[in-house]
Amino acid sequence: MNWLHTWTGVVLGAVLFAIFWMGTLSVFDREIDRWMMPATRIELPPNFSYEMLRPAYEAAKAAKSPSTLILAPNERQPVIIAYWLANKAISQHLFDPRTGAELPDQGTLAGTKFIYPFHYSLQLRFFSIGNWIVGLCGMAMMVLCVSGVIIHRKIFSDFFTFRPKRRFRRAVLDLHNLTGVIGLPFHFAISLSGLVIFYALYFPSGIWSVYRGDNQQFVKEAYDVFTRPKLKQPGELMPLNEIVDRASRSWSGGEPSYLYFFNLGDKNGYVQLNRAVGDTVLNPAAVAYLDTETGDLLLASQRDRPISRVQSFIAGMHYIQFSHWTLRWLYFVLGLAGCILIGTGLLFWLDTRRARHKQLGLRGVPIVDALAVGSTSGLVLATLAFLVANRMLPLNADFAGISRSSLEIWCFLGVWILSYANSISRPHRTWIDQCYAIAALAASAIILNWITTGDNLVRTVSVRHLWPVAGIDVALIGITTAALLAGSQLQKKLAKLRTDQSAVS
Amino acid sequence: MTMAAALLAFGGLVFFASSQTKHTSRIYRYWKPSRSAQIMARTVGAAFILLSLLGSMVSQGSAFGILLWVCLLSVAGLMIGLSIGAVEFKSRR
Repeated sequence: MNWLHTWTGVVLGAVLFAIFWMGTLSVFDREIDRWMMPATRIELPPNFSYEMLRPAYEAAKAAKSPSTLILAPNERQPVIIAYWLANKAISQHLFDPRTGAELPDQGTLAGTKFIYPFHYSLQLRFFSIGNWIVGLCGMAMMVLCVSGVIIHRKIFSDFFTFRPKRRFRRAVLDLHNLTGVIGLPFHFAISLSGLVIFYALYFPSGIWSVYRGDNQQFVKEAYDVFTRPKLKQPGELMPLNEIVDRASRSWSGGEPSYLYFFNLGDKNGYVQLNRAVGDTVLNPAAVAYLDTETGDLLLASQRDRPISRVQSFIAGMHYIQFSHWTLRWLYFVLGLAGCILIGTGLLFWLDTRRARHKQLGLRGVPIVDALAVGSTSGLVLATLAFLVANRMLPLNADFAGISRSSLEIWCFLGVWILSYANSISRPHRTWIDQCYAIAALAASAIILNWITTGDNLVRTVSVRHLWPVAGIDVALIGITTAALLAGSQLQKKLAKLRTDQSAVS
Repeated sequence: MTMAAALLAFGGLVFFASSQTKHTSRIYRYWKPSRSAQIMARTVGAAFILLSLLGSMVSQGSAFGILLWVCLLSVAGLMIGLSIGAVEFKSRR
């Protein structure tokens, strides 16, 4: 078990850290969106009319898209977001919920389109390879949780034990044990629920054996999906408030989170409405299909079958789309604890082998050292570079045909690669370098946000609908402070070590 | 009620931590809890934790309540572990 725990952690630790870090940030993905898309920093109108979705529908119809997905605004995302097919690619459009007018393209993938997909796919879409790697890491995390409990001989007597004053190796192991043992229920549940969400991809044998490979039939039966072809006769769209009212009655109350229109402008047009999940853990909670011309209810599903409810609950507890700020913050703290767990695991491995590997001339430690630095502080650095690039690039930036949103991602990847290069080229100072670089980038992000949008911390704290922006700024201040403290402490230790070495020599 | 549940979870774990001589000796150098005090602390701790579960479920419903309780316990445990570490760190400086 010790061997299994060690090598699973060392081999997959770097990827696991990336998954946990991006997952932790995804807890506040909509808030990151508002920070990165200044046009969305508006107040949700108190009496929102669903008629404000009509301009988005009409724009999608004009673009001859066969369907359009329109996300209704809510407290965390106060703008209307519409997706439709244009020029063989799905494009995202933002609309003002007060007027229905289209907002300027913000040229960023921000939290919901970059950070969140990175969490479950590593942005490797080719043959869903990213999903498979994440699935493997999810399984590995569960193996690590179980094997970690088994190899921890003093699990009860060491409960709550953290001895920062002891030597580095002991303190790191204490922190690893503390975050691992106390956060165990969360880490296990979050890894298991992540696998359950992608059950159709990871465990397809049940679907294969029952449906003989007919995935569409499975989806139709499991999720009560309704489809019908176009009639090729023009049709009108009935008042949207009426459509929402009828869907809401079918769920016995509740607003929709999105409206998915099919066969736009056709007599056979229909719309799928998913009930918002702000007041329930279940995700999805309920679905209704209505005729867009007559408003007739075509299909309504409450997902009330036991297995369906269990799957919805497990998925919902991972997605955390519910409106529960206490739980959201607790998830965030526990996500960070998961990052510390993985990071300290890598550091412990390095510290226990550094001297021996050096003596034997083995290359294991330098490789894992570079991996540990690049995948932990390097990833934090890359994320901050993503934010800084977002505030530095002009709205219509374009370089050699590369769009603004792609430029942001290139900045992210470039800084990430540089962090690995730094860890290889300056192995003795790499943690110090990266701590100071993190502090500098986090401080720059706050200042750039102020300069480019006028939203300084005083203003964002005093205006209620700007609190998400204030939250990100406060988090950035926290990162700056922590990185400066860590950097200066490490520098002092390095200076002391050098003094001791010169005294000995 | 949610705040009460959070305080009960924290308090319950504090009682558990204070029943461990390993931690009490790190904070109070010359005092060790007796066996009966340890049993009492664990009993009170368990009662607090169960009350915290009850409070979470009453205030948030069963689904949110259980989720909240598990997360509260984990975060409270981390806070206690880090606090004990910080106290020891300061006292030995």
